[in-house]
Amino acid sequence: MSHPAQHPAAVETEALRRTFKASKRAAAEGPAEIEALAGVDLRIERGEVFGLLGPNGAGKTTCIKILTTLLYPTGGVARVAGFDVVREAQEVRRRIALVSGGEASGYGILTVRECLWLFSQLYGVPSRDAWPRVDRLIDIVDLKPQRHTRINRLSTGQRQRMNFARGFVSDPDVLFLDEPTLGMDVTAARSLRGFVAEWVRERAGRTVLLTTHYMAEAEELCDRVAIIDRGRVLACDSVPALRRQVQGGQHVELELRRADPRLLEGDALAGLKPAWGAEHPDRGTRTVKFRLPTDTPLVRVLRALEERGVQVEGVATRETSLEDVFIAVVGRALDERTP
Amino acid sequence: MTAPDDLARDAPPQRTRGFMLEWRAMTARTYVRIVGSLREPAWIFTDAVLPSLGMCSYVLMYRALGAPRSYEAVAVVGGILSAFWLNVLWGMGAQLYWEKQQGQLQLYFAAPCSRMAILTGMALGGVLTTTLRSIVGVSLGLWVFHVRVTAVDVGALALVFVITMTALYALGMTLSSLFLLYGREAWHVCNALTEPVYFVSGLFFPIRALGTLGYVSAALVPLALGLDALRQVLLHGAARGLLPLPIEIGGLFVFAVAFLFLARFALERLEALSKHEGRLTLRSQ
Amino acid sequence: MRTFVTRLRSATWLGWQLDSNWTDPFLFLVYTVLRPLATGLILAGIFWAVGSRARTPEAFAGFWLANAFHNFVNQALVGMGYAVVEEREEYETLKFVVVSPVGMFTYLAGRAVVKLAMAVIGVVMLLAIGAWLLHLRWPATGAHLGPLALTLALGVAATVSSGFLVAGLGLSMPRAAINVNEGIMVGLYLLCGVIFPIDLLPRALQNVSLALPFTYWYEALRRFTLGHGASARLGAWSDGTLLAALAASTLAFVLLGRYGYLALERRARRLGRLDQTTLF
Repeated sequence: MSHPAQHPAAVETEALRRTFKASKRAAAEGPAEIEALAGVDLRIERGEVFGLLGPNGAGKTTCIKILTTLLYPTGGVARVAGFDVVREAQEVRRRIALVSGGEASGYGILTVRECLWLFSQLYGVPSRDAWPRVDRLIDIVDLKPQRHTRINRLSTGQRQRMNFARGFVSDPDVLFLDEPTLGMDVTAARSLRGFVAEWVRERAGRTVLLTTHYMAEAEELCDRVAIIDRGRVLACDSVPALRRQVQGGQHVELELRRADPRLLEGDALAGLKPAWGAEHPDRGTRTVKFRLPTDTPLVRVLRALEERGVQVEGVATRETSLEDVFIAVVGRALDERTP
Repeated sequence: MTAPDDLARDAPPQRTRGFMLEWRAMTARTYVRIVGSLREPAWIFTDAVLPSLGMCSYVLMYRALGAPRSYEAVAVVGGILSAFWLNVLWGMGAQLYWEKQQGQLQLYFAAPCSRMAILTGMALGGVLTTTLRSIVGVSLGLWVFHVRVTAVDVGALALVFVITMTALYALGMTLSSLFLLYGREAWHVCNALTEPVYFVSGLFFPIRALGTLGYVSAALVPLALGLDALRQVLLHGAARGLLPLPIEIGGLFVFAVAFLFLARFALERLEALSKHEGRLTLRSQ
Repeated sequence: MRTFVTRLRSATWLGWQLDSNWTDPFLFLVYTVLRPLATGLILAGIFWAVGSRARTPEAFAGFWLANAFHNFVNQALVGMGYAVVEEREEYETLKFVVVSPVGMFTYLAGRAVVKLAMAVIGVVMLLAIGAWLLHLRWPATGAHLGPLALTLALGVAATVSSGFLVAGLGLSMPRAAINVNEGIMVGLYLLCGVIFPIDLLPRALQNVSLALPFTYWYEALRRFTLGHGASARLGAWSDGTLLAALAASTLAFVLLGRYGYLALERRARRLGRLDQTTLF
C-alpha cells in the first residue's frame, strides 16, 4: 500500500490510457476501439486549482471518471492523494468529492437541506456536524429561502447551486469539478469561480481539478492548465507561461474601408497571415485580424496600407489569450469540429 | 454566492469509517424511501391499491367456480405478498436503473460507503413502506371477503415474515446489480419476472397444484416458499401447503443467506465489469 | 384520405420498429408471449388447484376465453397510453411528433395497428394453450360466426377508441400517466367480468360495468363461441339485445375517444404539458 507521505501530489497519472469498444455499427465503419485517453501524464500538487481544458470529446470527463474511481483505466497508473484509484479506491473515495455540471441528480421529493444531509451521510459525517454545515453551505450558495423546498420545484440554476454545494459537505481533500458552470448564468458562474478560489486559499492542502471548455474560466481560476485533445495532453503550464510559448506579439484587428485582400500582400506586409472577418455594409468597411510579429511595428503596417490607398477606420490590439494558445497548440478553435 | 468565511471557522467535519459509515449511509437511504412514500401518497395507488384490486379478481373467480372459501383466503394472502414482490422488482431491482438515468449512481459510487449499505437502506425502507401499504390488502381480505385466520402463532408469523423478506430483498439486491452493467435489458428482465413469477410462485393458488413444477419452484424462487410458509402459519391445513413448515422455514433461511452472499458477490463483480467496460455511468442504455 | 393513409403508414412503420423487437428475440418473447402466457397460466393454476372441488367448472372455459381476448386491452389500449409515456419520458420526442404533419392522433393510430397485431399473437397462443393444456374446446359453429365476427370488430373498435382516451389522459396528466395506465388495466380486469361474472360485484359496480363495452364484448365472445355466457344478468338478454348494447357502448366510446382525445390534447397544449418530463 502506498504511503501518502511518499507521494505528496494531490493527483498523479502516468501514461494513463483508456479505450472503449466501438458499437458494432461504428466498428463496421471505422476503428473497433475508441481511444479516449492516449497516455496522459499529469501531476497536480496539493493546494492547486488545476484546469483541464479541451473541446468536447477530448477526454476530460473520461479522465475525471478514472480519478474518481468510476472507470478503470486500460493502461497506466492514476493516484489521488497518494492512493491508487484501482487498488485503493476506498481510500481515494474518502478524500474526494465530485460535482458535474449540468446534472439533475437529487431526489425530487427531498428538500434542499435533506438532500445535502443525505450526501453528508454517505461520507460518514455525523448528523450533529452535518446539519449546521449544510445550513452554512445553503447560505453560501444563496439558497436559504429554498432550503425547505423540494428539489423537483427548484429552477435549473438553483439545482445547479445545490449540486455545487453538495461537493463541499464532506470538505474533501480533492474536489473534482467537471464543467461545473455548464448551463449557469453569467452571474452565478462568476460567483462560483470566486467561491472556489477562496475555498482553496483558506485551508492548505485543498486541491481542485476543474474541467472546462470555457477559456475565461480556466484563465481566471486556474493556477495551471493542461490542454487536452483527442486523449493527449498537448501543453501543461501556468496560463502566462502558455501565452509566452505561443510565438508572436500582439494580436491586431483593423477595420478597413475599400478593403481588397490583394492590398495586404507585399514586402511590408509579408508574414502577416491575415484572417478576414465580417463585413459591415452600413459603414462600408471590413475587419481583418492578424498577429503582428515582434520585429514588425504596427506603424509600418499602417503606413504600408496608407500608401496603397487603404483607409484604416479602426485599430484594436490585445494580448495573446488562452484561446490563441489553444488554437496554436491544438490547431483549431475550441468550437470547431474535429476533422 | 458569499465567501466561505463561516465555513472556514469550522474544524473540518469528522468523516467516520467502518460500521458507523455504513450505518449512516444505510439510515440515510432508508430515510429517503420512507419520506418519499409519505410525501407522494399517490404511490399507495400503484403499490397497494392496484395489486389489491388484482387480487379481488382472483378471489371472485374462485367464487364463480364455486370453490371452497378457503381458496379465497389463499388468494388474499398471495395478493398481500404481491405488493412486496413488486417492491422488490421495481423498488430494488430497477431502482439503480433510475438512479443511473438521473445521474445519482455515480455519486453513490464515488462516495466511500458500500453499495450494500445503500441497498440495505433501500430494502429496509421498502419493507417498512410496503408493510404499511399491505394494510389495504389486509383490510379487503378481512372486511370485504371475510377471510378468517384462527390461532395464529405470532412468533412463527414474525419469523417467517422476516426471513421471507430478507430472502426476497436480497434477491432484489442481486437483481439491482444487473443494472450496473445493463440498462434497459435489465429493465426488461424485471418486466419478464412479474407475471411469470406470480405463476410459478402460486401467488393466487396453492403451489401444490403445480405438482413437480411446484417443488422446483419452491427450491428456486423464495417468493414461492415464503408464500407457502406464510399461508401455513395463517391458514394451517386450508393452505394446502407443499412441505412441512419447519422445512420451509429452513429453506427460507438458506435462501436468505445465499442471496445475501450472491448479492454482495454480484455487486462487486458487476461493478468491476461495468467499470472495465465503461458502462457504470452510461445513461439511456 | 390519401395523405392520411400515407401518414398512417409512416406511423405504423415506426410503431413496428419500436414494438416488434425482431432484432431482440428476448424482448419479443417477454412482451408478446411470456407475459400474456403467464397471466393465462395463473388461471390454469387456479383451475388445477380447485379441480373437482369446483361446483361450476364449465364456467372456466369462458373465463379463459375472455382472459385471452383481454390481451387486446393490455396490448393495445394500455399500450397506447404507454406510447405517450415512452415518447415523453424515454425518447423525449413527443413534442416533435405533435408539431409534425403526422400529428399525435395519426401517430397513435399507427402504433395501435402494431399493438393490435401483437395482441392477436397472444390471443391465438392462449386459445391454443387452453385447448392443448386444459382440453378446453372452442366450438363456434357456423351459425355463430357472423355475430362472432361482428363482436370482434366492435371490440377492436372499442379497444382502440378507449386507447385514444387513455393516451389523451396521459398527455394531460404527465405525473399520473403511469398510474392511470396501470389503474385502467387492473380496473377493467375487475369491472368487465373477465374471469368472473359481473353478478358477483356489488350492484353499484355492476352499473359501472354495464357502461363499458368490454363487459358486453366478453359476454358476447363467450356466448357466440361456447354457446353460453358467464353472467346470469346478461344471460337473460337476447343475442340481438346483447349485440345492440355492445354496438351502442362502442359507438359512445368511439365518440368519446375521438373528441375526448382532442380535448385532452388541447388541454395538455394549453398547460404546457407536452414536453414536461417527470423523472423526479
